[in-house]
Amino acid sequence: MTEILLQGEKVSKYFGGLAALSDLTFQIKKGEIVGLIGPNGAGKTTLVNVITGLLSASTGKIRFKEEDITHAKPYHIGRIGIARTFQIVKCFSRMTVEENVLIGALFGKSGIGRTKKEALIKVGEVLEFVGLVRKKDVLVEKTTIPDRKRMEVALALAMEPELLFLDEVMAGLTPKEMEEMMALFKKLNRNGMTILLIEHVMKAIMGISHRVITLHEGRLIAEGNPEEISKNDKVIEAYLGSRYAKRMDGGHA
Amino acid sequence: MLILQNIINGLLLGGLYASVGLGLCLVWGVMNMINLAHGAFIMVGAYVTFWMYHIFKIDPLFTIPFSMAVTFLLGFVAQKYIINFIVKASIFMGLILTFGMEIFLMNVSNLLFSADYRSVTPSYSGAGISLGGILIPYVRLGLCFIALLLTYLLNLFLNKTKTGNAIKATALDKEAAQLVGIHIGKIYTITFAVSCALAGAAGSLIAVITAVSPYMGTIYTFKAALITCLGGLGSIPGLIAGGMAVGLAETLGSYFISPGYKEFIGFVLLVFILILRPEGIMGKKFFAILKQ
Amino acid sequence: MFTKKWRWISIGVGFLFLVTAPLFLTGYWIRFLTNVFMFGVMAEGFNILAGFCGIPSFGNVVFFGLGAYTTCIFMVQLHQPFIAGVVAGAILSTLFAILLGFPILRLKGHYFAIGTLGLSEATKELVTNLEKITKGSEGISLPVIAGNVNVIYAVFYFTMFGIMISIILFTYWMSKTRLGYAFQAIRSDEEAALVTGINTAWYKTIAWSVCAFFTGLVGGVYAYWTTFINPEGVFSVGITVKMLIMTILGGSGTILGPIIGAFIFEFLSELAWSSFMNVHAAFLGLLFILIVIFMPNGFMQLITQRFSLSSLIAQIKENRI
Repeated sequence: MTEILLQGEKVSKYFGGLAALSDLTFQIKKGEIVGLIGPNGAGKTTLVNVITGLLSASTGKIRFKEEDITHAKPYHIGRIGIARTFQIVKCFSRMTVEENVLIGALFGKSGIGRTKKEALIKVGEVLEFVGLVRKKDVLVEKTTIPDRKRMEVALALAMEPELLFLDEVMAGLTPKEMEEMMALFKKLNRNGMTILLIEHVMKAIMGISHRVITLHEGRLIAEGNPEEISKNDKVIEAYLGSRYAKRMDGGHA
Repeated sequence: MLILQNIINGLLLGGLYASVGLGLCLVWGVMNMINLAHGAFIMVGAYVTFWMYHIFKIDPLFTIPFSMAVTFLLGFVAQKYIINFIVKASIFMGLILTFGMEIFLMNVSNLLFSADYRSVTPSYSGAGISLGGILIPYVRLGLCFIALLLTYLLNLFLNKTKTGNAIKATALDKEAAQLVGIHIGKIYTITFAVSCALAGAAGSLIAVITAVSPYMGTIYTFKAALITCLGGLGSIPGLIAGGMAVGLAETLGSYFISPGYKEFIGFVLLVFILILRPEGIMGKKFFAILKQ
Repeated sequence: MFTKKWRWISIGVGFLFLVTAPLFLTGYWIRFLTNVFMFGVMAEGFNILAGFCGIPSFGNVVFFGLGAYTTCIFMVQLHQPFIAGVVAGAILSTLFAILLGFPILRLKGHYFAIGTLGLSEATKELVTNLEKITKGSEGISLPVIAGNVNVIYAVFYFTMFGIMISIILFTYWMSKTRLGYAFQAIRSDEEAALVTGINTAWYKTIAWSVCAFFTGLVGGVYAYWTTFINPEGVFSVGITVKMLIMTILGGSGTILGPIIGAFIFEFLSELAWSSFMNVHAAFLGLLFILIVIFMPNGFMQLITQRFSLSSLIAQIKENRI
């Protein structure tokens, strides 16, 4: 029985009267790649923000391994082994690619005891893994978007997380770049990393996820393996609207 | 009874502060910049009133349009040819630039008019309405009234005129405003000019109750900034609320604790409120974030 | 021309010059340079806070005043030696920063700037009102030191110089270690810094306290150097603005920038004072405006990157509407 890494029980988030997340109960097992999908506004990024502590859950509990992290501060969550990227790439300006990743290595899970020298070794490893070694001395402002995305992933990896949240990393990438990213994530997973992937690009999600969770208007509406999800009526309805779903049904019947 | 007098004084003072704050709040909300030269423009307005009263014997009330015109022009030139150069820069640039402007204006004024204290004392200066033991000076009342009038007019301008709406749009979302064809540079120029005109009007009013001198304005800049923070950006009613809060806090604080602790009380109030409500008493949340 | 080698050589020459200056400069210039060192320390402190960590403080003079007043009170009321007073001043400033850091550092952006300005104004008022201890607006006088005037000037000269070297070394060290990276991450993107494992509140308090320490330290030395202080003088907003402008002039976020900025600004100020005394203040105001428009990235950028008219114009265009 594989270890459960992250567990959420009846997590809700209210903004005034609006329920961005409603009674979500979910699990992520160690070693999984979980895809999180749903139409825009479904609450995917909100969920990640709540888990990583940037937003506080209105109700419910979140547990990482044995620890209750429902009200933990974001930096604590970063230090116990959860890392994330952002929908709109965030990086530290006026610094080089190497320095950006260095920050991840210095302040992440293994960062506390490390000297700068040791951290730089880790940075080198990570940059090699994502393929950015040649650009390590370039200022981030001067990098391309795909490179910046890879750097953000590198930064997260330098934190040596056990659980990695990737928020719409594929957006804006060419098919080839997307293939390279997917290969990267598969390799990470083979090495033991647990990944949660938020995506709109179905090919990426269906291609590498073991399991897919679907959100719609803050609720969990479907969960299963990629093939099941792609045929799930509720998912189709959520993405394409009920009229199209009916048409699809009519077509299949 | 004395407490009631203090409360009335506090509210009237609050009205004065609100009128002083109007211009600063406008610039801050629209351009995301604190105009440290605000006090200098108040001073200019005060001097216009002084000279017109002194030389032409015109009642201070009627000098207001003139002081507004002068400060409007000054503000227009300042924004178009100086400030527009650094609007997109960091918060400090605006602070230093306007601080430099203030020093420049104050010292030029010192050179032109000398540092002597001048006063504007029309015949009705000391008199007031007496209501059952409470004195409400005419001038203070008039000040408060005109402050509220200016607020009302500003509100009308922002909400009912095309330019005003353009200004509001710019304050809410600069990029979106540009997309619909609003020329940001021109909006900023008009906004700043209007802000200075408001400062000039406030200056004319203040000239009647305080001595006019080149350095008179500095304290009002800070007060205006304080109440803008307190009341919250993006809200003119908030400004009035903030002004009243500070005015009351100062008067009652002076009465119950000591007159010398005005800044202290203002500061404590500010920190207290901003911690409980980071967007100010009535501010809109999105203004609390520094736009970069 | 401005290669690394030449930079180190010029630093070395400058250092040598300043260390031997008391031997050949007159008292006036020794006092002038002492003043430059003092502002250099304050600008550098401000730079750590704002240039590296991105905290827009507009009330740093409060630490200067606290340091000055603590030193005076220790010496005059408590009859302690100068060293005790100065150390007490620095420690008090730091404690003040740590305590008040909690509520104030939660404010953001402009609100924080106004909050800190309010802090310095409120403290000025408080100090003025506690007349029994601080003698209020009259100010406190310290005993003039007996002895050779030039030796005394030299002692203060080297004291301020020593403090300046210390803060430069501290800034250099910081920029290369974890602390510096945390600061820069916070300046760049606080949210990203948080999720990367940086306790931003903690680090911001450190930056704020370090700045307070050094600023309080020179405040204490200043008090004994000029032998007279009053609230208006040591809590003046003008001092904060000078720190700001020197940092910007020299180059925010660099190590030597604020020091260079202090030198340049004070020299320009001196020039203005001797050339046109009447309009000196107005000239300074104009200077502020010109610096902000034409040199927003400061002097250091001129040195580290090739200077060209087109890059200057590009820089101006960047900030302008």
